Amino acid sequence: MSAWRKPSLSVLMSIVIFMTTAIVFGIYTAVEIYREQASQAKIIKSNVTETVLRLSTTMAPFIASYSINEYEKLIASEVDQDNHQHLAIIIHDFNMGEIIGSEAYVYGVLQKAGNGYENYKPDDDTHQEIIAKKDFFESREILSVQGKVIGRVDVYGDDRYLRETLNKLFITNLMAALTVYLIFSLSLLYLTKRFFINPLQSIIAYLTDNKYDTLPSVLPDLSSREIIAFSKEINALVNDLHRQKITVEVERARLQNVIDGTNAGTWEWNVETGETIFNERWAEIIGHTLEELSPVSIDTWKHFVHPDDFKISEKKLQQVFSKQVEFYECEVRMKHKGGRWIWVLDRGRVIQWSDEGHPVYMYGIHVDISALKMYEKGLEKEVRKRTEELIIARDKAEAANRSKSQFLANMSHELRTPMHSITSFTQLALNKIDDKEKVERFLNNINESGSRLTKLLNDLLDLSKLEAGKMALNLTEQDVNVLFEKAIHEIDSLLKQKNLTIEFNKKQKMECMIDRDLIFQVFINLLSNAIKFSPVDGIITIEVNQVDEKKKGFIQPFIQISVIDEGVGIPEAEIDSVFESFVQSSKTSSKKGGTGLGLPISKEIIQLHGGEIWAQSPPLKHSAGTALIVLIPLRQQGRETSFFVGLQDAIESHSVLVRVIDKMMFDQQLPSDKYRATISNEHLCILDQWIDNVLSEHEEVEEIRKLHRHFHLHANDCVFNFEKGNYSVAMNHHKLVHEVSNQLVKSLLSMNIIVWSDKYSVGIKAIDEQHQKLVSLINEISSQLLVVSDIGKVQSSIKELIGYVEQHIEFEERMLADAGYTELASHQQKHRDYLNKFYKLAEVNENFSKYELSQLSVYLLDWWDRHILEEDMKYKPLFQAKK
Amino acid sequence: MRKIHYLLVILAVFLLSSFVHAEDAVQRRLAYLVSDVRIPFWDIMSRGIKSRAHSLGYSIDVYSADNIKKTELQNTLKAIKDKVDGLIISPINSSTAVTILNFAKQSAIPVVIADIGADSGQYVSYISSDNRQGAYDIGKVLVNKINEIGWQDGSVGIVSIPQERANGKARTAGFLQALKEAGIKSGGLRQQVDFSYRETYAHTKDLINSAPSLRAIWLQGSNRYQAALDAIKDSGKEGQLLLLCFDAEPEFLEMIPEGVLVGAAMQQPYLMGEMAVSAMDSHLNGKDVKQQHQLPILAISNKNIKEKLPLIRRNVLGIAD
Repeated sequence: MSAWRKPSLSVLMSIVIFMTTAIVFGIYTAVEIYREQASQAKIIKSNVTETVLRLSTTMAPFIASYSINEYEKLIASEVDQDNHQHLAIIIHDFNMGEIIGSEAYVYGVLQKAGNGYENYKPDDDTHQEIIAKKDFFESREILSVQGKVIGRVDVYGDDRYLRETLNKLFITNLMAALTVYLIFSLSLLYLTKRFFINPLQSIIAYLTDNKYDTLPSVLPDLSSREIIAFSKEINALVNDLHRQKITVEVERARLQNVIDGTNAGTWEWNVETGETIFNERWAEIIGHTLEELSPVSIDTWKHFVHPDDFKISEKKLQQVFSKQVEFYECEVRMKHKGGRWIWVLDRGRVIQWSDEGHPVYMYGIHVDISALKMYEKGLEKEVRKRTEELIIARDKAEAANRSKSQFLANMSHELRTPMHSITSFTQLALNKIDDKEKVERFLNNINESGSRLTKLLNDLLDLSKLEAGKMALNLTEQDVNVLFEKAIHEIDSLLKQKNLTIEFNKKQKMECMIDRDLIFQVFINLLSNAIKFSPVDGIITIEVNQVDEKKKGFIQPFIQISVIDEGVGIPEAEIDSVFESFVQSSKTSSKKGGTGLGLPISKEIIQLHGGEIWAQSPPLKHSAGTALIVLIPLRQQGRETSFFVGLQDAIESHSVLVRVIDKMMFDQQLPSDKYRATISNEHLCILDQWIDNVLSEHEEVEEIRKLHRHFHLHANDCVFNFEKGNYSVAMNHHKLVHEVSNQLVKSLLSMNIIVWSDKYSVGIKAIDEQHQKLVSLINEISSQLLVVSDIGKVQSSIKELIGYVEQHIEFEERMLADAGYTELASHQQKHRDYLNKFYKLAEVNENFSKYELSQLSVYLLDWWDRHILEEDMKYKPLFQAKK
Repeated sequence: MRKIHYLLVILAVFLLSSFVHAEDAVQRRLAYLVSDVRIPFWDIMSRGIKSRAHSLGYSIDVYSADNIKKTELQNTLKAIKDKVDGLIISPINSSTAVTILNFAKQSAIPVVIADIGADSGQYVSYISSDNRQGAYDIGKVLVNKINEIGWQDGSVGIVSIPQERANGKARTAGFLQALKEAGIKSGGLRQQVDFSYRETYAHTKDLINSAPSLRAIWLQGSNRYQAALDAIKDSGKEGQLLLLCFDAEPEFLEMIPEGVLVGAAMQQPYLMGEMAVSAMDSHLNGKDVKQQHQLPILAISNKNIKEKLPLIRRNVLGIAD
């Protein structure tokens, strides 16, 4: 019940005072009225008697002298003076009666119904009724001087006056009672309020305001002994409550610490109504605050849980509700604010059941087990990876073993055959030493076998050198067609042995930068291979074309050379392995012999030129045979160059060119093969055009124009040096270009040009991209931390991350300062905090347990999720507004 | 045929004249209740009433109470029993007038009061004399006479009717106003109670004795003028004191020209009686009647008596020529 429905103490006291006053004054008034009634009745009776006596005397002379008007005036005067105490006064004038021929002339007055008197009319029934109601009556004869009865006076009295008097008395007493009540109650109320209610309200105020937290040990002086005693008792009670509250708070804090210690979110679910209470940690696990999720209910949980896991959870809940199991436990995925799924261990039990056995209240917790899950997943992945690696290693080892066995068999065959031939023909020559003709033939055979043996040994040495990367290219510009013609001519004798025909569809010059000797060797190998597997009288087709191929994301021009034979072909499963060392096709190895080194050597040479080689069996538009296809990059008279910048996608786009600058600014490493890509002068022209556009919008910026000229000059120098293959000079130029471009970007940023330009926005997009890269790096490190196969690799990755974070922070803070971001100071502080955490992370070593590392992984993700979600979301609207 | 027409016309004229005579036959009746008709003033008034009543076609009964209240009451009830159409009253006093008015009201008989008023009650009209103006006018007559003789230093004594009566108060006030305007002092006032010769003689003598400078005495009545003259004579003041009266006696027509009396303020009772009947007639004929009507009083001296004589004879003395 509401406190307002309870009676007020003040009202109660007022009622009591009113009732008491009413009773006292009621009794007093009743007694007074009774006394007054008796007194007044006596007075009225006395007045009536007196009036009769007086009138009977004073009337006599008037009646005797027939002065009717005189005695009428006398009666009028009488009733005027008697305060209306008389109901009626009636004179019976016998003298006048004689004149009018009646017993008496009757004259009188009686009170009107309202106020005043009217003349009495003997014939008026109403008057008779009034007289009949008399309460007092006196009559007396009027005598003349001679003693003759000449008249009679009748005086009637009633209690109307008495009633009026009593009414007046009642009203007077009532007013007095009310006045006394008012004074008395006001006084009492004042005193009650002063000495009782105010202190009580003070106590209530103390209790309400202080909520037992800051309650003084003793309430202030509260006017009266009783109240002070009461307040002391309240103090004692409150202190007791205070102690209990502290105890409860300690217990609650302890419980909260336990919950915090377990890092668990809690939930309380009213199963019947769906009303649910979560703690802050519950929301925090999924990257939210309770305020963001508010209002919450069981639907909040349903909203975030993975649909598949929700079904599982429902089944498990039903098991609990049907009392098959006591505890509910389920691992579910929940949608994190950052968009990723996190794993949560959901546990709980029904605390209260209805009389019908239905669940009413259920309590439980959420524990973030993402790290554990990631760890498990990482373990699984690692095991799988390791298993795959082992299988591959095993397969490779077996294949290598087989290749080695095969190689050794082939080698022994290839080596033994010429050696056997040498020893045999040497023995025959010794036996037939005198037969000059035969010895000469035998020596020729020995020489041939020796040459073959030498060739075999040379191939082995070349392959070894190529695989070791020790083969240096001597690039010169060569026409591929001419070179191939020479190769055909070289092996012309072999063609004639099998009566083979070469079809070579030469076209225009196909010039490119190649190592002439090595590529010639490749062509010989290709032709030898084709001759070897071609049937007698067969045709070998040679096609040389310029083609555009997309390699590493870019369309590039290549020279494609195809050598097509009509042989037995290569099984599809072995088509890649023919380029591996010591491996030969199962179809050809036994019948055709060979070292099996030609194609591996060719592959190494082509790859060294940045090209590719592969086999196609059967070739396109052929039913049988094999095509060996070679792609050599075509360098068109200085229109091609290598550039270190890691361009990824459509370089035609201006925004990508902006990214070039970004990359220049942040990629402090020297160019290497890892970052190598191709960029054309056309792209550089676009870059120039872009800078011109910027300048056209900001003509006044002379500094940019100056920088632009520097940039342009050095970019061309850089390209030039790449063309020349002078990498060291190119690298120095690149450093210069990078420095200048860095200055350019800084200048543009400081002038808000890039930052605020939609068209060329390096600013917020760059930050976003940096964030993406940071998240990507962090994810990578996080995964590494979970698996922890190589702690050194992890440390290296973390150092790389730190370097990137430092650059990002510098960039972002400069931008935010330019943008006038009001929370920059706190943002900077957070950056420092994150950096310190990363520095701490860099101290990770072998002594860290796997669990600690997995926790680090989770924290790392969490930090950046928070940083991006909470911090960056604050300043993004600012940038939007600026635009 | 023509004869028949003449007969019909003659018959119609006869019937019409018969109807008119029948109407005249219902004569309305009036009664005049007078305190004492033996007093000349009331007698003159009753004659005026009779004269006008007859002229207006009323029959009139005059009831004199002889100044006895019982008789007055009896007369009243008798007149009421006779079912008169209207009462003209000159009661004994204003108090008895109330009783008469009450009885008349109970019988729904209209009343016109002549000269003596009523303390209360309802009436059609009250015809009276303008006593104040009349007294003022006769005061002026005296002032003129004193100025003429050169007795301005002298004072004037008054033998008055009871001052409780309204007409007494009015007469004294009007007279004194005239003296005050002329700067003549009052030499005292003595009220009559029983209006006897003896009383008037005594009052006059007393005034003469108490005020040596007394030069004139004004008697607010007329019938006891001889007592005043005798007192002046007996006091040895004959020819040294002037005498004036209110109302008139027939012999005044001789005494004023002779200088025995300086003058007299004469009410017009005959006229008053006529006016009372006329007022009643107007009321009975449904006309509005002025409730208060005061008749002028004639201030007569030797200077205007000749001129006013016809008026005095008719309206004051009721003497028909």
